[in-house]
Amino acid sequence: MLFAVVMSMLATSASTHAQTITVQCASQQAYVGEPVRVSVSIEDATAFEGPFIDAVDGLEITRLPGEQTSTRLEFINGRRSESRSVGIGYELIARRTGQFTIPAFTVTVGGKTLSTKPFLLNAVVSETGDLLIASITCEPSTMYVGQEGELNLEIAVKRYREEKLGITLDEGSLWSLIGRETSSWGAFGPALQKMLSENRRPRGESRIIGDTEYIVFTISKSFDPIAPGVPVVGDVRIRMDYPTKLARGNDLFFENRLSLAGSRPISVEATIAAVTVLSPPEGGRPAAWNGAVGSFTIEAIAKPVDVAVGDPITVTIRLTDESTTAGLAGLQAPVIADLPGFLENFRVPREAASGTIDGRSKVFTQSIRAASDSVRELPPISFVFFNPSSGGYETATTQPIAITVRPSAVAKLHSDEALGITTEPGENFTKVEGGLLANASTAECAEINTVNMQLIASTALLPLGIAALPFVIARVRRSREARELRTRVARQTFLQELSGIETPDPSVVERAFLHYISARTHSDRDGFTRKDAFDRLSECSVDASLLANCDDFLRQCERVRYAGGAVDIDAVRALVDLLEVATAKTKAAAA
Amino acid sequence: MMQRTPLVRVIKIICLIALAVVGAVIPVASSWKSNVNPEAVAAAEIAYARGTELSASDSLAAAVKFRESADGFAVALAEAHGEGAALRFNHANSLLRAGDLGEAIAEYRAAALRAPNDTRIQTNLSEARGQVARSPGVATPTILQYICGVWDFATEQARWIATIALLWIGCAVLTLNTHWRSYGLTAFACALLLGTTVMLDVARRNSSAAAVFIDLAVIRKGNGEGFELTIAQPLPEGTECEVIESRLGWIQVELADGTRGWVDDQAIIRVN
Repeated sequence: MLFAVVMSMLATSASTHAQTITVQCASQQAYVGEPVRVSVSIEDATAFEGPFIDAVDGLEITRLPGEQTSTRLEFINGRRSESRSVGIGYELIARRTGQFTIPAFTVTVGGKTLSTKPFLLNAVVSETGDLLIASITCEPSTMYVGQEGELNLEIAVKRYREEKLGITLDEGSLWSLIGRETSSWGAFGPALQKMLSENRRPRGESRIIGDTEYIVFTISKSFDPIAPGVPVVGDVRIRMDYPTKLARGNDLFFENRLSLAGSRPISVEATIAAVTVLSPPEGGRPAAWNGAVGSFTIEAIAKPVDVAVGDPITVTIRLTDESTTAGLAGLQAPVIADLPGFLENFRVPREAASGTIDGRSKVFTQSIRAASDSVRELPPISFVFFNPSSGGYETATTQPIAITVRPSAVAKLHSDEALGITTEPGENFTKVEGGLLANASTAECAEINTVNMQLIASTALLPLGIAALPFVIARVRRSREARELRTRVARQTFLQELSGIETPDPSVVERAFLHYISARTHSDRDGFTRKDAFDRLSECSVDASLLANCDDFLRQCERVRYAGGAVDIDAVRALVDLLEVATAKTKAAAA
Repeated sequence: MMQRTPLVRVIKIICLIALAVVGAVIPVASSWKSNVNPEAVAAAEIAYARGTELSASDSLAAAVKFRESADGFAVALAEAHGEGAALRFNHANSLLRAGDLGEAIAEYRAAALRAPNDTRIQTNLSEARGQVARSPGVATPTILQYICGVWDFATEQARWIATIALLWIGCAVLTLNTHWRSYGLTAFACALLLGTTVMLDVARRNSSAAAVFIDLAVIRKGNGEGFELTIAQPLPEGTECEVIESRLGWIQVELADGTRGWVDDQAIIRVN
């Protein structure tokens, strides 16, 4: 509080260890019924009893929960000193006007008693007068149990004008002076809390009451009465600091800043305007009425309409409120089992279905099953409601829905034959339990219609493998045939490579000869060397002298390539002829 | 080239049939031989029926019977290695009526994974979802889920049998008569198509990240009790979500409205 006079009274402590007790009161003046905060501080006492204070007639003294403890360390000229402080809060509420003497607060520390000095508190009446008005209204003002309405808390604050400055406080400033924490909001607390959490606040609108201008803040909440009588809204008391003086001041950043120079706390309890919650009349109340109040239309859809006996038929019932005041949250569907024509011909759940709200409609879904193939239609569905406009009970009814029911096997559950229960092939269970479709038959339960990766692998790999086999064989065969062809035409290829060479190039001759040997020995020609030629020919059991001659010739080719000279073409042709015979013999022997 | 004699062809046919029997029929028959214990199912069914009878008069005794029924179906399911859409459907019904809303929804969804177009499962799943106190909604089905619904006119088992049959037909045609190569390849192509549908079904089932809250639980911004709440209100039992990540004792989930948060792994059950 900006205008608060802070009063401090030093205790008359006589502690030898500098233990002190002090008390601070926020104001020397209090308003009747409004709390004044008092803070008691105990210094340098690690353990104490209290504080204690004597009761004062006409004054309510309440100790606030919790303690505030602080520790201070000081180093002066290398000396360390430590002080500890414990703060305890009190609330003083004057219940009458007059001057009160607040007695001393005392504590006991180590067997010694410390106490504060008594001080005075002057309590006066804060006249709310016509400054603040709080009222609760209901829309509509007369309603029935089962209807939905809206409760409005209207807080009217008299508009404040500072004549000296010529300033009128706007609605935002007035709202900020209403004590959101100190007021009791009763049933409107959650609605206000929700607004504040969304960074919203009630908008104030200017309204003339009598001859005076007020700013009216409205907080609304939905109202769904469950019993006749006056709505229970709890304790709704609004507190605010009503301005008494405004001032302009200068500070470091803002010149001519407007501030509240004076205010006084006022509070008012909200009054409930004439609100009547009635109960629908008992006279003429039909047995099928289930509490619905409003003006309803009913619509029913059955799907599918061509079924076998026992197959589920989904019935969707849509109740639409034409009055816009019906409470849809608690609205219940008609119990189909109680309607004529259903229990005889259908298996229906006993429980009412839970519905979903869709705008001003509520949609309920239930599954029913035809009991025999003689059923030709879904009987009309009736819904009884109390209409506040006419003041009487009315019934909305659907048209019958034609359905086709085909014959089907009928399920039998021999529950007496414990564990001997069997089901016939193709049998369908037709029971409907609650809103649920019934269990599948034991025959269905025995079916496993899924496959797993293990089965997929074990069954698919073999046929795929067999199907791939001809392709693999053909590939191998083609490869072998190509190799044999290369062997057959090896000599011819060798001669072709040497034909047209007038001056025999040793490297060409060497390469052609190696190609020939690789072809005859079924080796790869790429990277085939003299050593490879020697090894392969050895493996083919070629005569040792011929082998040596071939190796000598290749060695000579290498030498000539670097040292210069010529190779004997005729010699290599002769070697090829000899190798042709030798490798043919080897092949024949192998065959 | 040596001419193939009729005898060689007959021997080949006999070999193919023998291989088909050994390689396909025996594994299929042994795999699809029902592991479901009919006595356990029947006992569970009787307990369910008793519970239904009692539900009108003694809800406490009915709940005990439904619990007994759920336990019976659970035993049968364990023996069937968790397979069987109908068995899971019955198990879900028992759980729901026993009051285990979250587990029931998870079980309905597991049944729906095995039989996507079964209207009974969808109906009861909707009924169960309607009992969730404050549901943030249900995730939109994925494209794969939509696609899988297209070929569910035949069961996974029937499609796989057709796949294997087509594979063997293709195999026989390609092996016995090279002039019918195009017919054999066509059979293989059909087998590939059908087999792909089955593989997609298996993949969809095995890759399911769905989970359901089995208890009232809060979701937090991190995997620890010290993290602040993502949503101030605890989420009710039966809330459906997708698992994003798992860490020791905690699972990161995404709700249908896109909200992500960490939840104690004991509070949810995976759908599989």
